[in-house]
Amino acid sequence: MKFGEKIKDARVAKGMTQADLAQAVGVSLRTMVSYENGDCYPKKREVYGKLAAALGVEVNYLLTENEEFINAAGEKYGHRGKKYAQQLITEVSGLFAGGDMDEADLDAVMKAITDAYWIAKEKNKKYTPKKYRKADKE
Amino acid sequence: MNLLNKSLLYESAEKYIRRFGTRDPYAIADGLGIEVLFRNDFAKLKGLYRVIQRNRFIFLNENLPEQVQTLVCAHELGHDAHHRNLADDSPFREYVLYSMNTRPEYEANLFAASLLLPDDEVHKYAREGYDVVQIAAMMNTDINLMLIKMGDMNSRGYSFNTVYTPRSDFLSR
Repeated sequence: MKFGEKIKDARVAKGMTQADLAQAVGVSLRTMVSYENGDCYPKKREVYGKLAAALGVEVNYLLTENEEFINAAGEKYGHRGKKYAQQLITEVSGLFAGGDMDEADLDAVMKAITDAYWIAKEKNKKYTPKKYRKADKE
Repeated sequence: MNLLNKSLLYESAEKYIRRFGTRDPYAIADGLGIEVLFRNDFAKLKGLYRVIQRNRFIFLNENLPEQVQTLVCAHELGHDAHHRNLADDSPFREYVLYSMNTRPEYEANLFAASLLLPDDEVHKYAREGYDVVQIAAMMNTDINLMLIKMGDMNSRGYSFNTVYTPRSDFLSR
């Protein structure tokens, strides 16, 4: 389930309106609407915590590995990094859609692939021409 | 997909052995610049091969017996050598070691057999009169892999009496 759908389901189950939830979390109504529509995700981690508290759900439920991974990829490597991360996740899900593989392995493969993505990115750095290298944060 | 003939697979494994001076799949992977990652959270999955942003990765299930890990690693090296174009950044393929019903899986198994099992050693044991099960045990490998190996050796002029046919899905058991 997508992040937006999760929020919506939990909110409706609690009988809250979008405005209620937006106020409880401290974001604008417009922002809340776009969360639910899946147009955007909270950028700050603490917003996830507030959402979880307001909705009475686990933070990890909202913050599944994949969305966090895609966001992190976007943060670190920009639009293209995010797009590629998204594609990776879709492909892995596709691999399991056939039903040939064990459901329990899905998470494990996701984790393996996302870990490998960071390693790949790190290794690829040495091929980046000096002038394009960002002054590294680490 | 390019259909490879059997001798080409055998040759490619031999080439690696000559180039790196070893039959150890981990050492070869290292020499080729392939990252081998051991994962402790795989359940049924034995291994996975995948290219991510031009980097080649082999994922292995850490919970498997060492003998199987080696076999899976060699199998994935076969994918790397012959099917890298399939596992490239384009859509994810069935790169799970499940069955030999597909051509790439069979080819990878044949590659693994060629890499891990030297002709002369198999031949020596066979001449001494051991049967397939015993030879597989002595060479510390899977019987099905041994059968693939012997079938391949037969096609190259040896004459083993292979009464059994390898199970097509032995790696998924």
